[in-house]
Amino acid sequence: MTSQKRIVDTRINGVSVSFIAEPRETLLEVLREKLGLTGTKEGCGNGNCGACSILLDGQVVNACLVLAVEAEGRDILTVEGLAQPDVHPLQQAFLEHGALQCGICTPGFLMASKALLDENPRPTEEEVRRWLSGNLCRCTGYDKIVRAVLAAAEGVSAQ
Amino acid sequence: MTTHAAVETAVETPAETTVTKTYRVIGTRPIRHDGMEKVTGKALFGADMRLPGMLYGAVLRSPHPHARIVSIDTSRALAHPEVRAVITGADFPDITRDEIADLGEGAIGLRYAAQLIMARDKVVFKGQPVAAVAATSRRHALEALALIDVVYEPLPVVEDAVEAMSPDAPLIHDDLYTEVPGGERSDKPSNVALHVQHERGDVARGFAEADVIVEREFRTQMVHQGYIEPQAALAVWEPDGRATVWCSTQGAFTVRKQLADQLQIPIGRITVIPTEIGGGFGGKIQVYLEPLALLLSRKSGRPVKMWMSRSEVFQATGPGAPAYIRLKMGAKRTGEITAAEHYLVYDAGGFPGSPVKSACVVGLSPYRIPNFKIDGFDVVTNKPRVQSYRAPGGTAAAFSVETVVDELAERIGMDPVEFRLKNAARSSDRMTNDLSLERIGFVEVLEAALNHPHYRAPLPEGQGRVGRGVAAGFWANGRGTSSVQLTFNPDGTVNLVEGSTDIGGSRVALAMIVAEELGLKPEDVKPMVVGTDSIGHTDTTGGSRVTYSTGTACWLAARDAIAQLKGRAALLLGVDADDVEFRDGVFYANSGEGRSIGIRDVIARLGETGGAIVARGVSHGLKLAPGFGAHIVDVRVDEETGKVDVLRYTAIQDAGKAIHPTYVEGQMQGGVAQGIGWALTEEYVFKDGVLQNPTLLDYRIPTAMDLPMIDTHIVEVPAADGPYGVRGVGEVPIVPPPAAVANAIYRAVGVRMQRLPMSPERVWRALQQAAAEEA
Amino acid sequence: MPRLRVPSPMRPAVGGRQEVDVEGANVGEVLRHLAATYPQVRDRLLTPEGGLQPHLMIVVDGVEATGLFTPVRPDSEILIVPSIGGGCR
Repeated sequence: MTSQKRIVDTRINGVSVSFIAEPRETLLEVLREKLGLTGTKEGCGNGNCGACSILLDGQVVNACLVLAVEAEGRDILTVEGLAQPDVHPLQQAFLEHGALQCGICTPGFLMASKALLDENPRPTEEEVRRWLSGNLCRCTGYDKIVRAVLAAAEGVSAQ
Repeated sequence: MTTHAAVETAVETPAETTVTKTYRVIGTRPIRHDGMEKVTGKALFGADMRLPGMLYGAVLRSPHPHARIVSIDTSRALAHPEVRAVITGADFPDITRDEIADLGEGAIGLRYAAQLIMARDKVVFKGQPVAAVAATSRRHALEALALIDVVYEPLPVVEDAVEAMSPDAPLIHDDLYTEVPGGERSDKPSNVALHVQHERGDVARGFAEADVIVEREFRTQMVHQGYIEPQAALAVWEPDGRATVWCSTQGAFTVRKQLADQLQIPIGRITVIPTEIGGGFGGKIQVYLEPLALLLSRKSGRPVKMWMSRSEVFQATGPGAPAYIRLKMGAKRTGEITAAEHYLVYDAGGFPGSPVKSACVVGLSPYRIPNFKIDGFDVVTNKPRVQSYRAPGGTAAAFSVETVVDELAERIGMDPVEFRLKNAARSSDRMTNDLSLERIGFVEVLEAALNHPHYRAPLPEGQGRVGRGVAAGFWANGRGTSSVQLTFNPDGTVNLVEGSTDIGGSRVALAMIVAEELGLKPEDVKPMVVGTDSIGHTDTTGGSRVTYSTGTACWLAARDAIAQLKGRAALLLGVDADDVEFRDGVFYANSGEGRSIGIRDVIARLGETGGAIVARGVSHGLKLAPGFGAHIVDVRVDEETGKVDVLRYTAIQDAGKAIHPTYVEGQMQGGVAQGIGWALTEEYVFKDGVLQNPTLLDYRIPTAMDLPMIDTHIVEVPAADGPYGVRGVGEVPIVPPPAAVANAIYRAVGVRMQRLPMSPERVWRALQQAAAEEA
Repeated sequence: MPRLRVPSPMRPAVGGRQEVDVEGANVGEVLRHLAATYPQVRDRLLTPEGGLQPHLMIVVDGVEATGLFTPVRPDSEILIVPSIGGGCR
């Protein structure tokens, strides 16, 4: 089975990146296996856990549901690009609130939370929970994650 | 008491450290040392590892729940241009020893473990590995699987454990006999692998003394630990026969032993390096991919990386065991439990080894019961072979006990917490297997529940019927052995080298113990989790044992450091070593002139006083430090749909001493969340042994929208052993939730649920049935 | 003399007793003494090779014995119980 490989030009974490992809490859596969950006995780491969959440032109998407070739000409933000270079208030809040235990879901939650705060700088607890319902965590029970996002919202808004 | 041997000098043993004082570091909430790399995506988990020239592996799995393997033809796969190696059961050594692989609760005979890793002549669950390939890309490896031709002869499927116990049921293993620990083995093969028995007193007499008797039957479902990170491993076989494996695991040392046993290579030639691990909960102790990756590396001469898809995780790793339980319990009108009969059938899946032995202890041990008879059965079926899942066996057993206790209390007219208090086990009482509980805090936990504002608060208002339930939980907690090493840096900071893979933030608590003892700040102690070549044997992370056992090793290592540094301080102070005393991070010369030197200075000047030192500590021989919890939950039941919403949840637990309260709270909250999923929505749905819902869409774990904030209350009753009275906390919190929720549902709508999960359909049907019975 | 508590399936083999006195300075000696005193116990306790049956563990004074050489004191309490783990080892 042969497939036409394509050159894809994109911006990842503020840097121009070009890569070669087969049409059937997902953005998640390319980020992890070709570009060495392993911060974005594979939890399920079919859009049900949110561990691969990234921002694509500012919108939170599951990288496992985006074909790599769809990234052509677009702006990607992964967890590796969140600290620029100072630690992002969300990252700081997660650390202070103990909003991670094993840490595997953390990149996805950080990216999804950033998208939330970009759109809604002062969410309520219910809005946070609704927005993050596509990100699964098995360790924390979400309590400290929600608290961290609410705390970061205050910090972010204070800027 | 406490640690035998290990320390020759008369060193103050951990449990003698006063537990009532205020600590400088213990009980604070520093940021975890590995936090920054985890929030920046730099931390390396199993599937993040890479090596030059690496191949990718994939596994061919049985489509049949029960079948004989007639033939396997790998020639077409081998001919694929991108494939570099193919393996089947024929590539593995024959395991002839009958030894039990020591995996704790997941203990499994080596011969069965071999088949679990790669089938030999038959398959006993859908998803069991039959072959594996390594290719230049994962996609090519997956393509190549379709080129392997396997001929199966399907066999009758045994799906239900109770049915499997019948003498007419198809036999899954013709070499499996019923073992009776302490008794005689059966003489005919059976699907019943084990019959455990515990007896005390005279149950007939006990029931005769009871004024009220409740007898109920329960069924709980197969569930999955649901770790978000699938299993992953990277293996390298060197031409000289050394092997290195990086993997996501709860225990590098057990992986090494399993590899040595299964591949029959000298254990000293194997190095296992644990990566960061994305959740385990008991499911990442048994090896699955590691032996495959290693053999593929041997055959191909290249490093081989493998990871599981989510569907493989559901079908072919080790879920939590389903159970069928009958419980009969009697009590006097005055509240004393007089007798209990507990009958537990635990479903092990394709090979024996369900946690029924634990269940037989955990269920009734929280209560003083003078007469009991417990019969537990480990039964095989054609489903994935189960593994430990956080307090293995405990949640199902507690579902039966804590709902029956609730019902007894109601029938007697006693408050359910008061009823538990009346019968609560106390320090030095014996568990059902006769082991002493040592020092425990069950009474304190129950009193805290009684006095907690949640218990007395008015029920939340709103639509639907609201009810409040309580349930208790218990876990004996593990101990085992851990090794720790400390080395010292010229800036006065300390490296803490340990082998307990960190699933929940344990490394910060361990660093805090060392910091406390040495008079340093937590950030001055640098913890690192290392592999099997770099630290002495350390038992697996699990059983709620790390803070307790590895914490003890850290405490001992710190003491060893102080003893050695004392000598160096003496040199710097110009006095005899006997003259030196260490207090709060400072070495004082007793004899005179108030001379003193801080520990950081002594460390910084090691080069001047004789060179480097290495401090060590090894924990073993620790006493049991059991944990107890009590949970209070408010639920709302929608009578039209049967949907149950959790409105408010409070978890109370005895932590002995909360080293880092944030992570103790985190363990409690995480266990509660898993327990709520177990109670309401999670379930393996089978049809003729075929799993119908192997995705995170249809296997429904709680999301952020399904849970409220989870309030926690930490009680501190010092354990009999260990530093500061600390106890393990990880497993207790998953034990009470299904029972607590069931008790709350009862109070909301008057039906007692006896099956898990209490899905909307089941609750709705129970309501319909109750209404029909009333009419 | 060390005291040994017997699990319920084994009691018929020791005359119905729940507790027996045993002799020995370590776990191995105690088990061999027990098997010699109560021959019916032998197959329930030990494998043909003389090791402990895999589904049992020995607990000495509240701590799981690590092997047959685990010391036993004159006032020790020894339990024979079904082995349990707890999600770890």
